[in-house]
Amino acid sequence: MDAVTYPNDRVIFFITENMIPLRVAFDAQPLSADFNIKWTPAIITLDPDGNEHHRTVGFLAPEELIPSLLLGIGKSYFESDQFDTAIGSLEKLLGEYPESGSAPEAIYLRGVCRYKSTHKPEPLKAAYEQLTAEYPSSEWTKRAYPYRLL
Amino acid sequence: MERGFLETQSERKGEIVMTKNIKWETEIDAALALARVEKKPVLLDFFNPG
Repeated sequence: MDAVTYPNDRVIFFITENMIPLRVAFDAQPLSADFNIKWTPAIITLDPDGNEHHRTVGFLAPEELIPSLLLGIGKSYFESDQFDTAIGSLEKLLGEYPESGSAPEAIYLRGVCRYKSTHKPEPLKAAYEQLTAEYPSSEWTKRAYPYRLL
Repeated sequence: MERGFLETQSERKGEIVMTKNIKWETEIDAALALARVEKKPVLLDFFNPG
């Protein structure tokens, strides 16, 4: 991460604009135990109250880290019922990083956010159809499978 | 200096090269306090300093 990802200009800009960056050694206590850290790099998105919303373990290239962080931000808003704000983060992810590993989960979560904000089932079926068409082998396509019947 | 950026200088073949790095917080309480003020989530990176 230090050699490739964190020195990247887009990564620096994204993190500086959108997040508060906090770096802790893997064995620093009590945080390491609190977050059950077993391997590094472990990259976690927290809300301002310290609640965890997203975690990745292992190296991420710049073109994967930024969408992963956008997904984490989106999940943070989703889990605090701020669906429109969550959709904004997910749309940015899907618009700028459609090839990233985070994209299928973003489509799934965007569908759920739209459903939660409208109480209409169509967004869930649309998410399934997009996942089937664009990411047929994704686990998120499998998770959306029941929505085909809506 | 802009918060979040840490400017450093290094010399390369006689020229000064300005680079920008992420300015990491190192204490969670300080990071969460900033997050509340700036209304931003926290990126918490557990790393191996080697």
